[in-house]
Amino acid sequence: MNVLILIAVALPVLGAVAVWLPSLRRAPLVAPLLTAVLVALAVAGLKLMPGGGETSTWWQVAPGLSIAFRADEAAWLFAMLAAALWVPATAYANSYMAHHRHKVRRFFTFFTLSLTATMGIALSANFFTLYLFYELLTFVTWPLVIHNETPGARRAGRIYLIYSLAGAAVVLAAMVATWWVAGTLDFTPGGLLAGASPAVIRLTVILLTLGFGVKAAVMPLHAWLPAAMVAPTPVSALLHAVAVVNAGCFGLLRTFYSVVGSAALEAAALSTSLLALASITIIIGSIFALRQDLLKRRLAYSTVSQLGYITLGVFSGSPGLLLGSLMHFVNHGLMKITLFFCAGAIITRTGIEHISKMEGIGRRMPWVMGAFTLAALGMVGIIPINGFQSKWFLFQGALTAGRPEVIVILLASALLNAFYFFPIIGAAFFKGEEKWQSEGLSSALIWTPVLTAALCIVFGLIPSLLHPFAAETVQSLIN
Amino acid sequence: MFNNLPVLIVVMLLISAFLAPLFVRRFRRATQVVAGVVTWTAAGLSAWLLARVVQAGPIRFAVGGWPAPWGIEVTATPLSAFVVTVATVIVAIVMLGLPREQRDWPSNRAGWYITLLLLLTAAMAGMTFANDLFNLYVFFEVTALSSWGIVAAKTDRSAADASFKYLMLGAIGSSFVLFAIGITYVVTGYLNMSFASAFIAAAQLHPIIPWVIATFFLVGLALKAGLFPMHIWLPDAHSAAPTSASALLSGVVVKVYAVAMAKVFYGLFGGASLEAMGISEMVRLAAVLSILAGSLFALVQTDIKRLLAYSTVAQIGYVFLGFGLGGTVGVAAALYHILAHGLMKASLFLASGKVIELRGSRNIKGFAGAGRLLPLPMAIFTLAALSMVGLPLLAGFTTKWYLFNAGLEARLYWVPVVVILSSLLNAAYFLPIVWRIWFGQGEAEGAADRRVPGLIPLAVLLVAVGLVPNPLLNLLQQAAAWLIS
Repeated sequence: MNVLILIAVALPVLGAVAVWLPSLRRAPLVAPLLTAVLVALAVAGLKLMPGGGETSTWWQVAPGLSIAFRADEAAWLFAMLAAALWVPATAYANSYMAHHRHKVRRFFTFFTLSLTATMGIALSANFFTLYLFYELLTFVTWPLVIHNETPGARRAGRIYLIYSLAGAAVVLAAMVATWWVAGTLDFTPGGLLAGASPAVIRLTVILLTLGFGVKAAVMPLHAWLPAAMVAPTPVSALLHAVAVVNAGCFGLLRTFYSVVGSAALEAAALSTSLLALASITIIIGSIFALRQDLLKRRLAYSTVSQLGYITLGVFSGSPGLLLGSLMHFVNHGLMKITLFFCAGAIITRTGIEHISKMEGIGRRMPWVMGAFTLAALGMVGIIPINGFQSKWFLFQGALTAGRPEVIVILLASALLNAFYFFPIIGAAFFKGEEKWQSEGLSSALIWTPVLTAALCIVFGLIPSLLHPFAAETVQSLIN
Repeated sequence: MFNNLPVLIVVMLLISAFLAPLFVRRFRRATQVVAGVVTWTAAGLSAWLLARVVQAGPIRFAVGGWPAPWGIEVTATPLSAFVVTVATVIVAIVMLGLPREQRDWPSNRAGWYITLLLLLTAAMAGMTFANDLFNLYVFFEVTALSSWGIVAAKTDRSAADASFKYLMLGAIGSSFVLFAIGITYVVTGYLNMSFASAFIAAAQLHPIIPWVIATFFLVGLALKAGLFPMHIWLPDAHSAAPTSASALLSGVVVKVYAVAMAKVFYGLFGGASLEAMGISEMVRLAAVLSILAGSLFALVQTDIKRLLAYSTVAQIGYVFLGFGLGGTVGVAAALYHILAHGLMKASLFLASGKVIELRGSRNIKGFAGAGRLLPLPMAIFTLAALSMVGLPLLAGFTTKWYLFNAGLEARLYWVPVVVILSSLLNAAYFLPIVWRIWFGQGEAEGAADRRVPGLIPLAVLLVAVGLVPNPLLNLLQQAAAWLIS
């Protein structure tokens, strides 16, 4: 049993319990942060330690059903992204909850448990483990969605639960199909369904797309995501911009390439229709985003649209597009968490949630809106921010894959991004009567978005921070 | 000396059943304890018997030394030993709550209630061990009579009504079974199942005859088991009964009828011929209807006990589906679910019973805020509910997984679809209650007594069979192989 994997998956459970330690007055604040730091270190260590890619089996439930973990390239990429962002997000959540004091312990319990579920999804070595943690993720994030206990939150929670459970049930069906056809559920490079009939492969691919597409917010399965914006902002930032939605994308990636396999995927001949689905998601998501006045909802629709970039690469089955989409998997996480951090900071400091009321906010909160501007420019795809790189590799991939139409979609989306982000920036800095002042960097509400925005630039300037990992992941998935 | 163990278990329970009312007036507590000890002894003996028959093969015992086909023959196979063990263990655990439940009952009622519980247990054991149809029918009737009794143990009008409805429909079920037994006797000349089966296999009967026999058995037993659409008595009866009775009726008793069906069908006809006659298909169809309809009815219930009772209608469908799919995997899934559902449903009823007691109402609104009131019982309720939904690592998932496998093995690809759909329906009616328990706004004061005896052992067993199903399933596949061969 790999100790680092044990730490990554099981430690958050202890952390969630430690939140309730009565003797420690600051337990709700210290325990989650300490857990996140340790998990991030453990995941980082997985890359350095030899033998990290070996499977460690924890428990065999029944023949063929075992809980097993493995830190291969794709697993590590997702685990590292989530664990690394968990640290600033927890710090941010600490400050945020200090302002919005409501059931703080309950909040951090489930917030920390979500880390277990995410790590479990990322590091799973077989379909059963993936399914188990995918289902678990729903149950531990649900209390976070309904955290405020308002009627709106309850309604959102119900929608969230219905979508997620139905999605997980479809994933279960795909798992049963895999088990029946392949006789095993272990993730294998090259997939398990290579020899199956095209009809079975097609059915499995459709089930997987429907099942994981819920959390990946593929249209028309996206409705839960904007609704879930009633959750506290740290939840929106970390879970509904990074961990949960990326878990959906990762589920697609993992099952498409390690269960179905790239060869079988080609045999199913579904990539054109799936690409169309992703393209529709990209464009319609952006158009919906244009019409939102609530900042968090606009960001949510932007997430729907941007996740389309990721699923696009996964659906295409071509190495080039997949590389671009994996870059975006990380880059989008960094940018979107920054944007949500900013939205939360604005809500906490000024109480403003609507874009139409944000005139002059940039002069009141220059650091926050500066970070927002950087991340928004990255979303549009402007050099030298990391969003540009994703697009660059997606363009290249589209050309090598012989799908130039993808470029048109991406350009149209960039334009739409500009349409819905630039007015916010313009109003924030150039309208209104506010005087320039600084909000001070001492609160985590302010410095975390600045930090992640800085990371966006660093990743944009130094492609070798990400590109080699994404490239080796593609290599491991498609050989 | 082991050979008479099955008889010993039944007789011990029968005798102690009738002793209970004699002592209950003076020594109520002692009577309850002795009843419990007797049931635990029966459970221990059945477990021992199970271990023995798994090792040394089935035991056949001719009661009174009269050999079959004339005398009464009792067989202990891994299947029957397992079912009796499950039944006695759950009865014994549920009986831990008797002293608390009977606190305000008059002695008379308390005594006879204990009698009925022990009688019910004895009859279930007898029905499961019996290898001849006559004996089976006798215990079948005793089971039914004692079930009616415990439903009516609460003296309010709804209990009497429910019990009467149960009695009437039960009588119809019994007559179907009696008719089937009659035809079997007329055609084969035997009541002993082994002999009758040999006759049916050898004689060139018109195919309609076995079909009629099987159909009458199916209707009669399915009615008693509460399979849709013959379930109409079940929600009334199971919801009107006292808590412990509801837990046992829903958790154990209905399953024994399903086992009786499996025993009779496989004992008389064998799997291949059941499939050829279309009986298996009929069982599967009824099971699927029951699974879906039970859950749909449960969705609209506002009375927690009726909701749980409708959930039983759905869950008994799983057991029938497993038997209907046949094969070692299918039968093992059915047997596993008998245990798993027994534990889940008993936990759910016992935990709900406490909430009902505190709130004074059976409406599910009463669960609001119950999590703060009764943390441990409600945690176990949540666990059992999630297991019903079929979350992996819990017992409910294991059943589903084995049903998938059995369905796919039989090339019936709709089985996974139905089972997954049913999980979603289960989620749709259990999760709102779980939500109310933990996040609902309700009074959190007023619980002087938070203990629910028996709940913790049930939960421990439930977790254990969910986490470590493998040894059990190996045993059950062995039991299934005995049944099928």
